[in-house]
Amino acid sequence: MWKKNKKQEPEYDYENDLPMEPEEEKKWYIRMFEPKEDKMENANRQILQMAVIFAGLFLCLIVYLVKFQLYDSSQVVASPYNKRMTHYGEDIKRGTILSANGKELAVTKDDGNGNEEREYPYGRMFAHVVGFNSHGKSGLESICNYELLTSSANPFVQLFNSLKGDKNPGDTIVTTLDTRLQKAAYDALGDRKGAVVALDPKTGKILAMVSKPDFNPNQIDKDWDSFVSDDKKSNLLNRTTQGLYPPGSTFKVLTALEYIRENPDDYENYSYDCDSSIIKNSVKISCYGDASHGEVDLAKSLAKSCNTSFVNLGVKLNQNKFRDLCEAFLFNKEIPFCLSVNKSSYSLSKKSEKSEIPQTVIGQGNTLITPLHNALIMSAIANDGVLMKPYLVDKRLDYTGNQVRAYEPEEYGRIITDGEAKILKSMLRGVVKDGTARKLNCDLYQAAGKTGSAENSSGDSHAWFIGFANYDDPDLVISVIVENAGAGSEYAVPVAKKVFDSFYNNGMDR
Amino acid sequence: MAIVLSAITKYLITLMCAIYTISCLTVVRARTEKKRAILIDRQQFCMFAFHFASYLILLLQTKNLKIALFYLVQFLFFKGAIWLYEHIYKNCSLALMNNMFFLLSIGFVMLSRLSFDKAVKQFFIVIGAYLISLIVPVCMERLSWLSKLGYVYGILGIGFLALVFVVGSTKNGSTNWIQFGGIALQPSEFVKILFVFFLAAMYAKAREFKQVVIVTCISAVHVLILVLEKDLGAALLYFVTYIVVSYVATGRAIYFFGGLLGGAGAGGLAYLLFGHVRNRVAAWRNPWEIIETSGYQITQSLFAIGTGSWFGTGLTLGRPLDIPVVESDFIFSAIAEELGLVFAILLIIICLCVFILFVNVAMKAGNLFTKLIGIGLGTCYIFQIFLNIGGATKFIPSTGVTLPFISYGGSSVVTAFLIMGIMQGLYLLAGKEEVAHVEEE
Repeated sequence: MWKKNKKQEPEYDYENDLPMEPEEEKKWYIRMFEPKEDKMENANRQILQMAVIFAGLFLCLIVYLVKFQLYDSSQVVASPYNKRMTHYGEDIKRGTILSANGKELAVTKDDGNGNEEREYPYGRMFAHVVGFNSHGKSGLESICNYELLTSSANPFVQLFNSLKGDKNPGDTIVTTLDTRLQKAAYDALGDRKGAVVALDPKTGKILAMVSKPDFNPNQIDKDWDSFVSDDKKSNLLNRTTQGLYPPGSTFKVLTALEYIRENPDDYENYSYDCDSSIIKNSVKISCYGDASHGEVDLAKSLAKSCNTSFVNLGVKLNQNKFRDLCEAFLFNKEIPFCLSVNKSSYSLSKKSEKSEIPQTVIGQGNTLITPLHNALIMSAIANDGVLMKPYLVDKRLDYTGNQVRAYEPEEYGRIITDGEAKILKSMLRGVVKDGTARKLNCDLYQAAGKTGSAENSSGDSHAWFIGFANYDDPDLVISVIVENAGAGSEYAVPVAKKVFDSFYNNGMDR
Repeated sequence: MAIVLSAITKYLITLMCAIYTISCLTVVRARTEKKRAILIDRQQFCMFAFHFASYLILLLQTKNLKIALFYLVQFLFFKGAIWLYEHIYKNCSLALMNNMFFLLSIGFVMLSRLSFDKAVKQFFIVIGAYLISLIVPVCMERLSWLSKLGYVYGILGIGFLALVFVVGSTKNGSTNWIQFGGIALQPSEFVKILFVFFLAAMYAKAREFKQVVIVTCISAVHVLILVLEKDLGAALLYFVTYIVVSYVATGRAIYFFGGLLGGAGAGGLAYLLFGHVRNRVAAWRNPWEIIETSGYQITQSLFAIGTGSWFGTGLTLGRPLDIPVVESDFIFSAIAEELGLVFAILLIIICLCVFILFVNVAMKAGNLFTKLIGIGLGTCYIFQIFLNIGGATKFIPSTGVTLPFISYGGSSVVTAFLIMGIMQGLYLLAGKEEVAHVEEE
């Protein structure tokens, strides 16, 4: 076929690139492959097109490089694999880490003979969140390494310092942490193992982050070997972000929400007669302490944390939709946070064994959650359904205190509707007014929340409390876990109360 | 003291480069000869100032007198080379020549900082390459039969590429080198010129479907050999050059888009077939997960660029030697680290200016053969830069090609000189034809 065409084709004068006679009509699919003679007068049109394409490619490359430098580079450079930072540390005095209320949490002191030492004035209190600056670094010392070892002092000062042979001052990091709240949480937890997270639901600012057992960052070099050899107590572990616990009854908040979603019109008419135990899907579940709650509706089931009632309503739920709800609440997902957070897990779906359902809907089973994640669930509810990304670094200043960069609150997104949040809030308020968290009922503030007593293999139940205050206009969310203590109402609620008390007594300005 | 000087000089160096780049962009638009001459002089001033300041820092930091001597020899070379070029080829493109020497001087500075011995070796190769390139424009002007050797270029090219299967040696995972006594050559560098000549000559002869099929087959053999040598960068470069030249010659979009589609298919197939292709892609997608193995090089490169920030650490104050093969494939990262990202972006713009000048030459060229040579070599030049810089910055997967005139490597720099010589030849030809045209009128 092609040969035939070739014969018909007119001769060309290639010297001048001009056709010598007009072309005959050909089928379009043949013409498609023939050189375009009208464009061939000279090939400049195509050459120009190619030039534009390559220029476009390079424009993309340049935009990518600028974007990399502006947004990604500080995170990239902070990697512990970057040997450059230790190298630059030799010319820079490591910057200071401050609390939100201006107290020094980590500071480099010079002894006058050119020897520098990193000091942590609050010792153990901020151990995990501020971290340490040796043995591979941890906490803020690790994630802000680049900023702490970069000087934003003006070039003349830097020049002057170099001339004198002095080190340049690294930048200061202002955290969102509040020393008063951190102290309240730290003291409240006492000698117990556990964790406390407090945050502002409107911004996502982490106000306190305590994990116990702890360590003294001022003596980390001395104690290092004993921490590394003893993995049982795991003092170095930040339990707020790394500890995975069964959520226990705190999970009932999500079970209740799924029930409300599936029965939007008559969830208020739900009623169940609790006689301390129930058998569903051939699993027997009892209420905590074998209590018998009598006739309960949904709100009362939550307030009293009635296991049997939740099993009764939970086994009827659409398990795939429930899974979607949990995943919208960040189960099985990466939590957006600067410190690395272990992934919480929720494993139930339509394919699961029926016998797993009764345990799972009351927060036992295979479900695991970190204390920070549990605080975020409460935070989304308190903030009318919108989750703010949690963050720790508020500002970066140069050594004189001039702001280099401010970090703004960021929305993660809407997780539940405004209406759903309102319903849940009022139910959680009921837990404080007439339920398991009655100890929080006081005049100073209107708290709301949910207790939990998570059964586990390592001993007594873990005591949980997640909650917020004030009910009308929440500005503090708290998540408490006390390991192997017993009931949440007995051991976690008092810890939360001390933090709430401190927050509202001091009248800390947000 | 040297540290302070280095810190101040880095701003000066960026400033020189910025002035140079601006004059690069304006020289094309300069209307009068006088204005153009001023801009050309300004460019040379910036280049020598950059060169001097950089070597002064290197001298102060290393306190090695050999650096001073090396600088002097280089200074004389640049002065002499510019003088000679201007006098032999009165009508050559001075803008193109300036760019070539500026890129070379950046290369010398970085190589001297990375490895003095390699810089010296490179310098001697450059002198040779320069002398060879001096005769190239004459050849292009005189040899009218060059356009008649289509098949000869193709067969020669395939022969040279295939030579590595007989006498090849392996470097950095690719078997694309041949040894001649003490000299190692990389045929895929030189053959790309032959390849462009092949394409241009074939399409200058005929452009209908049958010819396109023949050209496609012979091009495919080139690319396949390169793929078998595991020289992915070169394979991609040849392929893109083939597509661009085919499209420019025929004016048919179907060759362009069909070629891209076919290329994407072939790329997908290569990904499935070859482990080393999958490795490169994995190192590009998420190098952080494999930071200790195949992600090591690219993450080190990103550390360098990120730590250098906008104005760099200053010469000798960074750690570019942490990046494996920094002096050839990853020299862009070393430049970004020590001279700063602003400088590095200006460098990209200068490279783009060179390409625009190439395109200008191609558009002014008098016949299809020379036009196709112009755009073909232009594509080779600019796309190689895209592969190199894109690869070093994780914009695209790294393919292991050099940065022309800047990277360490004899084959690379000689080829770059030859391309530059050919383009100057085309420029002179176009100029002559223009004069003839005017006289006719």
